[in-house]
Amino acid sequence: MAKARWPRGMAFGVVALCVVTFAGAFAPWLAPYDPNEQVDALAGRLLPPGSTRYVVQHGHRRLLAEEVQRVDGEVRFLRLGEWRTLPADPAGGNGAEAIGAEGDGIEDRRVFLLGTDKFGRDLLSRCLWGARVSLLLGAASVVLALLIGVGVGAVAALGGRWLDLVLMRFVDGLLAFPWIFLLIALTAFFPTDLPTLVLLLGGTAWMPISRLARAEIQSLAGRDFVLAAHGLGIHPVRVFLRHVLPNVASPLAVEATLRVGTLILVEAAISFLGFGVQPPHASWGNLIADGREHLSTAWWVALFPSLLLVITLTSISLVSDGLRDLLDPERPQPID
Amino acid sequence: MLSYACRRAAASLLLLYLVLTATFFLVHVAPGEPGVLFENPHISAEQRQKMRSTLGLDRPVGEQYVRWFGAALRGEWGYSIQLRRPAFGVLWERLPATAVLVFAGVFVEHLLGLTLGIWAGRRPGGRVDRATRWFAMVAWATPGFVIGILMIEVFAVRLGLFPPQQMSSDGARNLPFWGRTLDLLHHLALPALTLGLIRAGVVIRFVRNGLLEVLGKDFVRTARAKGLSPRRILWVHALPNAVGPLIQRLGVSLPLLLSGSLVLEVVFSWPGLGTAVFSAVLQRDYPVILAATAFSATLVVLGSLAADLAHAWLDPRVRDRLG
Repeated sequence: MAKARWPRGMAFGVVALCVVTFAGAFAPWLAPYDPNEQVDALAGRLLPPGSTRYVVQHGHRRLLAEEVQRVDGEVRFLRLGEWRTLPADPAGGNGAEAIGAEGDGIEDRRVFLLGTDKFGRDLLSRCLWGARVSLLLGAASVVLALLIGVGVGAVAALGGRWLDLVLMRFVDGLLAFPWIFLLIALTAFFPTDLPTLVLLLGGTAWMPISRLARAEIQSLAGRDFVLAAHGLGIHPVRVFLRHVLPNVASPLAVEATLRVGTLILVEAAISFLGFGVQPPHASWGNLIADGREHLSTAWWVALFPSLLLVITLTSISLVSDGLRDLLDPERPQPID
Repeated sequence: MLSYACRRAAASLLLLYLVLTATFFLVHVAPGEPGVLFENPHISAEQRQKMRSTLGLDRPVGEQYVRWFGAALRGEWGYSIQLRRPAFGVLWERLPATAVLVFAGVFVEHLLGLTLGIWAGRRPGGRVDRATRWFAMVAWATPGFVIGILMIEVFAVRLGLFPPQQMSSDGARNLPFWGRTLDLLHHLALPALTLGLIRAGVVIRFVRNGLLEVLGKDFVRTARAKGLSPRRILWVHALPNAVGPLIQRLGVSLPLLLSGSLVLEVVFSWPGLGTAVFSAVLQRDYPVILAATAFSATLVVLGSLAADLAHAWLDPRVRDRLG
């Protein structure tokens, strides 16, 4: 065998995908702030990327100030173009020293690297949590689709002619169904927590996988090593698990990688339309939908989640292409 | 050939029945009621109950199903709860808008796909080939709604070249035929371009790979040996053989096409099937949702059947295989 060459673009895909997965997996620790926290919806609204604000405790409210000054033991802060002074601490100390303590004072200095959304929530934190939701949904749905798909494919391939015919007709019909109509209705009607979404997405995505699994298993079932295993009297289930399944793993891996991408796209579209992942929870789809309203004035709200989505999906496509080249150099490259 | 079409139609009908039944129960079992029942604050609980019984929603789900199915068999899809008109009519009058958008999108898709695909396939590994590979990948990776809102922002809001939504201007009704057509094309440009763009990537690779495969075949070598010009070989011998599967692909990808147009219709407020379904879902307009499920599935099945038959008609090898 010739030395396997690292397919072009795959390195980029793998690195980008690792970064995004890492970001999603560790979002709770990586995100600088609480993704749903609205400190000061009015003054923190749609801040451009890189904005810095001070969190000022003022009475019962927490406000975001553009600037703070300490003059003569008094703390003054600029919010929405207006300078205000914090009331002096009745205990005799001044407000500037009251950091972290009860009462008024400057609590925190925040940097919004990617800006904020219309409620003044930190976009970077929301993008990271969105990555977590989008990737988790994509991956979990594909696992479900793989389970159903390989199951149906195996039954069709090994269950005899009639079962094969009936099952594959059924799968053909399901493949020809415009699922998005039903998905939208169901995500709109049922409470959409993550398990429900996985069930819906995975339950409508297994058909191509079952076709592939059936074709691969069928072509393996007549091969010598499988026949030999049967001849040795090994239990058919064991033959399937130990000898057949490992050999269909690589085309399935290629297909599954690509399906993660398509399912992330489907989830994004559904969440974009306002079904699917519900606010305040972030997913890339509903982040982009949020940003759409403010495209002319605050481009960053839609841009960053869109970029993340496109980069992730491009990487998935690169990795899937690369995997195919690595695992199966001789196979003619399928399209779509 | 005829028996093939009949077998497919029978299988599709059975499946349509199963999917519709599943949809019926899922939609009716889901918590919540149609919007008209809870949105109007002025109606009393009594009136609300009366509306429920008029709509038949107070009956057990099984009974509702039998009633609905019996009517559907007679071709009656019920009345839209929201619009108080026959549900099927609501969808039927939205069909032309979706058809126009889908056809225009497919046109852009294949125009782009064939041009770039042939260009890339003539020199595999060349600069154009590599560029189209990236284009195809990014086009696949970008959701239609992202390109859609970008198009609206750039070409409609910033540059003001195209209208951002709807399929006709306010006064267009009074224009002469050509004026109306121009107005429609003006509105169609952005959504059709978006739909075409996101789908063109796959066609490019499809045409390119098909072309490469065919160019290596014996009959092309023979044509070359005969001394035919490269142009004639490409256009007369290679290309028709390479693009045959495109028609079949179009049939297979109809559900995706419809899904793509649904999202874009909402983005561009295009008054087609997609927006009708969207508002029906928001209002829980059960009859329209069910009719739309049946309607879209029938369209897809008929479309893919037509694509198969067209492919068989064009390619004798496929004809033999279908029997």
